[in-house]
Amino acid sequence: MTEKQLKSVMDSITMPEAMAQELRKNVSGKKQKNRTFRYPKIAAAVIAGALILSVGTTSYAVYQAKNLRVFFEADVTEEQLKKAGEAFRAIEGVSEVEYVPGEQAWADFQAEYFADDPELAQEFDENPLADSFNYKLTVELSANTKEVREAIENVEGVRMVSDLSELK
Amino acid sequence: MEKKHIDDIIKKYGNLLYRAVYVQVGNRHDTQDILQEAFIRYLEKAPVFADEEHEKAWLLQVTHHLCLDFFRFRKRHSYLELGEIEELIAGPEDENILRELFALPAQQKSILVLYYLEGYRIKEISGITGLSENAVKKRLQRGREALRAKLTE
Repeated sequence: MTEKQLKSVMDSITMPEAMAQELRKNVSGKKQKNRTFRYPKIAAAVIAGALILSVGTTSYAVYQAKNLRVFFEADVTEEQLKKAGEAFRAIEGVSEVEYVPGEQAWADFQAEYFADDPELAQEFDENPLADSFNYKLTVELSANTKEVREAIENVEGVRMVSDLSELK
Repeated sequence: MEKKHIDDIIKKYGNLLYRAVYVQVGNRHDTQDILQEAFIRYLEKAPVFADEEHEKAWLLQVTHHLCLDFFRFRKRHSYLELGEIEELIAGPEDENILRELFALPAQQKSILVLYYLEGYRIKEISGITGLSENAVKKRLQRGREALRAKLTE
């Protein structure tokens, strides 16, 4: 296989005209399609909250000088997660490594957003943040954050690294 | 005015974004959902772009993150509509390439798509995905190696 072949194959993938027409119709009216993305409003709020959590919020962690959250691809395995933790501990400049399972992410989210109305959490049959497991890393003040971040991003399975101290 | 605007955007970037999403999620149904969401955000946020390249990169970035969200919150991997592949390809060799491309891990697939679709360079892909340039290089290398290995088996 050549790179030219690969590009040629990708170029052959084009949007069907019927889809283009449907998109024009739905997007112009800013309508959501009925048959998909049927998130009820509360689930949309949870998802928005989870997106906020994925880059860190004041409610989710105490701000320290250099605290990083590391999020993973959806298809990461348990073995990869375990190896990732070991890899993080071996990075120079990382002083603490804590694994935050999806259950904890959900518990923290409920405590923050559903404290006044716990019944809202009952709308969910299962944990919607199950895939928001992450590692919380504490980086020494003297460490080169850029180098540490690059070392983390090179670990297999890592999707995103967020720096909580950069949030306003 | 809005209708004309969205017409123009779909005409200009529709195929590019369609390819970028379709290769990742593997079926038209979910691709359409993701693209719809991306275009709606485009209209609602109405960002001001320095130029067309900036506009294109913004749309790619939004669809890239929507794909990531799709995998996270749907809590399932993409499923491949095999019948759709057969419509696209010219011959068995192309079909093989496409199947192996779809089978790659999501993190490699998304980088390969950006690299080969519009010839984005490492630095540009880094800007779109939020990954460091080093991480982009590694994923590109792994993706290429995996594809070559599969196709020479």
